[in-house]
Amino acid sequence: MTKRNYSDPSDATAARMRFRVQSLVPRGLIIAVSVLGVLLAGCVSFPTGKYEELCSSGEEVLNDAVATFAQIETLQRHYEVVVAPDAMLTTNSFEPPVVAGRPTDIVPELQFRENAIRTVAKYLTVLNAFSAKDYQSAVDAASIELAGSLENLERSAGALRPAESKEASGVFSTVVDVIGREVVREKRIKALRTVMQAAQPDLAVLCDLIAHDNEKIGQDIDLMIGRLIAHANADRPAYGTADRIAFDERIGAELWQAKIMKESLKAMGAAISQIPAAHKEIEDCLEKKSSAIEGLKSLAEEAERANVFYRNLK
Amino acid sequence: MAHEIAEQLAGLASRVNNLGVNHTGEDSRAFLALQDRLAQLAQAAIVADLSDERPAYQAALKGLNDAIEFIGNADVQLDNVAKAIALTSKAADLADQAMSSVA
Repeated sequence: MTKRNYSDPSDATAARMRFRVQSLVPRGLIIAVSVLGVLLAGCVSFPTGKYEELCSSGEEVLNDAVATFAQIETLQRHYEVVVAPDAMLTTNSFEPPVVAGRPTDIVPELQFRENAIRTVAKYLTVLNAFSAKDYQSAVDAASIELAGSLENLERSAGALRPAESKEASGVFSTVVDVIGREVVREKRIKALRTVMQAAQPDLAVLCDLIAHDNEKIGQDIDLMIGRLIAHANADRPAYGTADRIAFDERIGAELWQAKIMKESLKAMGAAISQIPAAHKEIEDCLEKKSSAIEGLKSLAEEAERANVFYRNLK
Repeated sequence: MAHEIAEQLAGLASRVNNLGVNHTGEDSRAFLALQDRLAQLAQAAIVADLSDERPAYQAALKGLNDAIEFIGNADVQLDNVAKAIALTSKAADLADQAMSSVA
């Protein structure tokens, strides 16, 4: 079997291949592919920073909820001791009672809401991580690997001279890299749009429920504080006695704590109420096309990046 | 409904509290016990009101959990872009090996 000498310039097939490679002006091609990529992406400006802010808001609300709900639980424990009836102590003496077949313990409801807020925060964290994850580096690495593999293949095939096969594989890999990056970008935007549109109504319902329920939890604090004050008045040491100041200081500290709890619930409610609108605003950003100047800027940046990528392969 | 009951009971407990302030001794203790009972009823109504909302929470939470799962799947799809390029690279390597062995 006669082996064809693809590296021989006289070979017609090899000559055609070389002609094709020489016809490709790498720089122009890369810019053209970059332009196409940016145009396909619709020049959408990507609001990465806004996802981060939204994620931080969710985490702050969760941290506030954990701290405030823990304080309410402590308040309830103290309250049950103070309002316990005059009876023999049992293991259940200070458990929140069941009244008319209904529990009075608010802690399970607090824990349920804490878990709901945790889910909201988790969703916002996952959203932020997905918006910021560096998929492009993996595309770059795979494209560099591809360039090496293609170069070896072209050399083995003997269709091109070594310098030409390096250039051809470099051009091809750069084109694959540019397209791959744009595919990643477009798929990411599409996925974010889809998921944010689908989650918007449920997010709005949850945030509204949480904000509204914080008011009810505030009423429970008011009730407990009202009872604690009533009992304190009944047990308060006489005016002018040494115990009076210490007693009042303890009650004053409890009232101050309760005030902070209520303010925290209110602030948490106000913060979480703003999350659905911010979520919608970011989703709207994904729909909007950037201005002509921003589009040109991103286009120039992508062309420059692709050229650097190509030069590094050489 | 539970919400209205909770508010009415809280209001009643507050009024009884005002009444109790003007009494001393046994009367005062009786008022305290009565107020405690009213406060407990109001608390039970608040807890019932909060508990009644659980189905609404659970439906909305399902939506958010589905969204989290969707993002996980999209993450895999985006990872696959680089994997597809890497597979092309492997295919080229295999072709190279095949050609070398033929030569």
